[in-house]
Amino acid sequence: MKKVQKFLAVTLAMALVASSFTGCGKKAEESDSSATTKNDTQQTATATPTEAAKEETKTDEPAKEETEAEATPTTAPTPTPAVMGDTSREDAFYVYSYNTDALNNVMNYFQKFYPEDAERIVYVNTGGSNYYQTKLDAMLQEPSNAQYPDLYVAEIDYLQKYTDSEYSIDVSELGITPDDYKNQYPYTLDLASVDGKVKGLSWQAAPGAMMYRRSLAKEYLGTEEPEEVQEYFKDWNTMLETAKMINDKSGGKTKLLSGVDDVKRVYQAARTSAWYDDNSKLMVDQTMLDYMDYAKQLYDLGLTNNTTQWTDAWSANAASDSTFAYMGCTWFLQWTLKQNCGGTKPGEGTYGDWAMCAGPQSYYWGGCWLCVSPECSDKELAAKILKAATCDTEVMKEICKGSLDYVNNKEAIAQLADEGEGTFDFLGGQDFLKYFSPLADSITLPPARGEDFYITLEFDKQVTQYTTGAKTKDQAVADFETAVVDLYPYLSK
Amino acid sequence: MKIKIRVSAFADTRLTERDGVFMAGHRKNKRKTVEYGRYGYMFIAPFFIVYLLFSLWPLIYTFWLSTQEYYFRGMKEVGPTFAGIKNFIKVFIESDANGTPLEGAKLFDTMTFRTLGNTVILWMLNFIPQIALSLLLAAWFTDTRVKLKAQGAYKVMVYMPNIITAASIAVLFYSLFGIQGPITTFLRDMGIIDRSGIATDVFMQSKLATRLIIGFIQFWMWYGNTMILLIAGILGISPSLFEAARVDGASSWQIFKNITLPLLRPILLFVLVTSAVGGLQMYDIPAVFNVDNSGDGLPDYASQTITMYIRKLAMMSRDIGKAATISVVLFVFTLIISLFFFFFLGDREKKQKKVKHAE
Amino acid sequence: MSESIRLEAKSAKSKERSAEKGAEKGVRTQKIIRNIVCILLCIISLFPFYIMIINSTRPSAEIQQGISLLPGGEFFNNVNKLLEKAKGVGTPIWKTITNSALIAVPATILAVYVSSMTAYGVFVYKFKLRRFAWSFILAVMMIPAQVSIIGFYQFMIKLNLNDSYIPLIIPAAAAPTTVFFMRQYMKSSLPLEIVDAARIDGSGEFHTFNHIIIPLLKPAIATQAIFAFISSWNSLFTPSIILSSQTKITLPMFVQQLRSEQFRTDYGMIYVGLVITVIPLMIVYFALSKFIIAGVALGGVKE
Repeated sequence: MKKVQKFLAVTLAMALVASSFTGCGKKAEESDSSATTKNDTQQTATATPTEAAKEETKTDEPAKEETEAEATPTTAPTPTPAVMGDTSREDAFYVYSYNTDALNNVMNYFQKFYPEDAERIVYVNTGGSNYYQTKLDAMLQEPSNAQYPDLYVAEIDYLQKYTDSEYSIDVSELGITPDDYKNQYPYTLDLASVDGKVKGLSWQAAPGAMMYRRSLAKEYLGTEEPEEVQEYFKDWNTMLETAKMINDKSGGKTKLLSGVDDVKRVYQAARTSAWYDDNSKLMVDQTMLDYMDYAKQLYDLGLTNNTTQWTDAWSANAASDSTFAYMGCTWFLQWTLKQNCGGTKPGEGTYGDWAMCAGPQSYYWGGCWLCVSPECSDKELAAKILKAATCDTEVMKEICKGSLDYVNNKEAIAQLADEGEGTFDFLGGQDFLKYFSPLADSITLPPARGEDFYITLEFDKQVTQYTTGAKTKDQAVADFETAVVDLYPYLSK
Repeated sequence: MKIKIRVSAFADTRLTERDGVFMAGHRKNKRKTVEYGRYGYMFIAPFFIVYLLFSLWPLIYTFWLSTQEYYFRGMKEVGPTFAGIKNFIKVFIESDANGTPLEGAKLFDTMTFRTLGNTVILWMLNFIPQIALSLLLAAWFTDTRVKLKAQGAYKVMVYMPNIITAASIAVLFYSLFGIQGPITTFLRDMGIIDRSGIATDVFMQSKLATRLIIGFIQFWMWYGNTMILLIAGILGISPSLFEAARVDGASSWQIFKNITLPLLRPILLFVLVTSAVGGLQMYDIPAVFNVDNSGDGLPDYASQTITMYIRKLAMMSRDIGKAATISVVLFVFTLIISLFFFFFLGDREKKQKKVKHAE
Repeated sequence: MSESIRLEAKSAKSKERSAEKGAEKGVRTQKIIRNIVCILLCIISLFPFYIMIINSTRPSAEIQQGISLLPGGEFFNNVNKLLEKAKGVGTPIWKTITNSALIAVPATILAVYVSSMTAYGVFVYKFKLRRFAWSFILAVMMIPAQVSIIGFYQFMIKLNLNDSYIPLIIPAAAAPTTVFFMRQYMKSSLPLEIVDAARIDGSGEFHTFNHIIIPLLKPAIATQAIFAFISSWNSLFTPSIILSSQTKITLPMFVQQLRSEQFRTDYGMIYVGLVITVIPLMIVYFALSKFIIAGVALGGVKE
């Protein structure tokens, strides 16, 4: 028994040590290639010098040795020190978010224009929207915490929870005037306004589109031109027919969408009422019921790959021929699709093989706002960041050019469109700015609630039950209402 | 009160059985220890201070919170104000905001009892096969007639999953059984699942499959532990009993059924109670395995355990009063379960002892 | 009952005699069957980890294609990707490992030291509340920490201790199961004469405990320390409620994040993340398995 144990322990340890050695030889070339192929997501944090030093002292365990050996070379190529930031600084300025979006698309550009101020920024990414609110709430209610958020990102689905509270301040207190944000799309201001006070500003506008694969369109629809492809998706019924056609022609290898819930946001954007009314009574809008029916049809006919949005399998389909299209919006294009396409330049993965058409219904999807906390340690810096990221046309033009995010600044968009900056090799040369700008102008939003994020998740669970046939529609809706009322004592059925 | 007596009685038996010589000097020393009594308090003080402060007080505080209406609306704190048994009514029967039961609502038809039921199901799916296999293996490993040589290695291997971070194991199994996980694709290629040719998330969208996998993970992590405990228990049984039976020509099965099993009862009881108490708090694996962004056990809450539900109410929708109430329900339920097992199996143990005496 | 055993045994005896030769053969087949079952169980124990290691060396696209038993050559690419992504979360993996250690090490020391003290207190000294204290410890063994989490969390907020390691470390000092185990061990292998002898030599009570008793308890302390460490290292529930600062997250919390948006894009990367969290534990386990298995056998159960 002893022998066996020892043997196992030793082999495991040896294997690890050996692999880390062979790795060292390989590493030189690998880090080179990764340096050239790096896309903007990888320009994340670099360990601060002290951290690197600490890392080197930890060689007592083979497994750690391995991580250390790997860490050192990869941190070298892209030094963007402000990004993760130095938590040991006295004047550290904490920015909270649930992903690296605001880091890549806001802070990186802020750093370019204001390198000295950017050094103070500590960007805290909680790594997923699932625990973001929980963490943020706890931190916001604890101003004495050294890592108290000075500035934080709030998504459309829970923005109101923060704007409709004392945990976000009026931007006019920061010296930001309506004149500063005159170029912003009005809907982004309306959504963040409570009692006439603007409590958050957004750097992006998020009109949606249907993003399809050019090569697959050519193969199954005979054309890849957006105007012609649009004909196949001009309304929901036509879209369903087209989905069947694609499925048949490809022998089931290519499905229209990755999952049935891909169409959810399109329907959701057409709602005329929020999840609950002013008397806190829960309501299910007719469009959401329509969505359930459509999702059921898609499922029953086997027209999608049956993934769930935001799962790994769903993302992975962007790189394979199994999925014809995604319903996506401005940020979806650069943040989700481009990252998951399996390449970084035309010819790699599905990069360059995408195009956009309007799809069955115009819609918007999400978007993020920047809010300033009441105990913000440096309101001047907060104002500087807000102005740069959401008002300053020059900075926003840079953001748009660099990260391909559709910025919340009509002036910047107009200038860039005139300069022809919107042609995007990812979309095979289609001009995404020209495409999105009329859509952005016409966005109107249904009323939103601070609980939208979690309420929608409860709804999603029941839609899955309905589409897979586990429940009737009425039962699913009833169960949804019960679940929501169970969560929030102030809501009623 | 009965609990302690039983536990200590059981412990004493085991110790005397294993060590043979029980401390004879115990009584002799009694006189001497008296004068040092105050040191006793000093030695046990840290434990009791920490326990009272970090466990008992929070427990009392939880009880108090369960009587309060205390929640957040958005970021706004509401309460705490005294609410009597309103929270309890809401937990036991679907009610409106004022604690009046809804028309046609059924008792126990609430998320609390649904998640409690899930927890019990997940525990049973793990415990029944676990105890069966552990017993079988323990019998094999202690069988002197058919000696297994590589016992040590087997023990080391099957115990191993137990010490690995449960969260890692849950992510691993999710990756293996996801819609494009290696096991799912393998079964799909073999034509065992998704015969219609359309790939579905067959394991993650099925209540039964999700529960079975979670049950399996728990079983897989814990049967080695139980097996080793049972082996220790069997080895603690006086070898002369086995010898006598063997001389009389009893078969392995007869020995197992008539000697091992009855004498193993205290340990089985111990395993059962600790496993049930632990199982009711099950969190790590279901909380990471098949969950959505609100942390709910999918599909349709089938893998949502009661501790996951408590966490969700406390941290996500922030209805603190209700979360506390559900904690109290869980506490009482845990107590009932352990008392039940002690009475149910404890009495039989007594009878057993009587029989032994008669012999 | 004993009667029935004998009767059954007698009938079995006669049967067995008649089939003595067959028995020899039966033992051999039994042996083979049992070994096969055991080997299968070992394989089941190892297989998921094997797949994990193999998949950590394969590119994401290949993993999607299906199962493979042979490694690929993408291990270091996957490691690079993971480290990059993990940095995006703000906390490098090694930091979550040190965080876990910062909690687990002091918690373990506290747990075994205070438990030994408590067990020693109720074992050696005779005082009024001794019986009550012992009954209390046995009773609270059955109360899981999870049921008081709401009160615990609210109380920590009041004390301004949420988002710190203190609520994760200090409560470890009150570990009834460890106390129980330590007392049983003392009962079986700590002669009280030693204490008396020390007193005659003029050793103070705490000096005796620290310098004479603790060394004698070493075997028990070692096994209990391993279990205390593992349970603290692996715990997810309480840390995930108490901690909110991203820089303070523990390893299991990081693992939980492996399933979040940040890492969803690449399968290989997820498997590498698992390898990094699992393999060190495996090494420690195989090195210490003798103690661990022995410790479990002595009743160190925590489920």
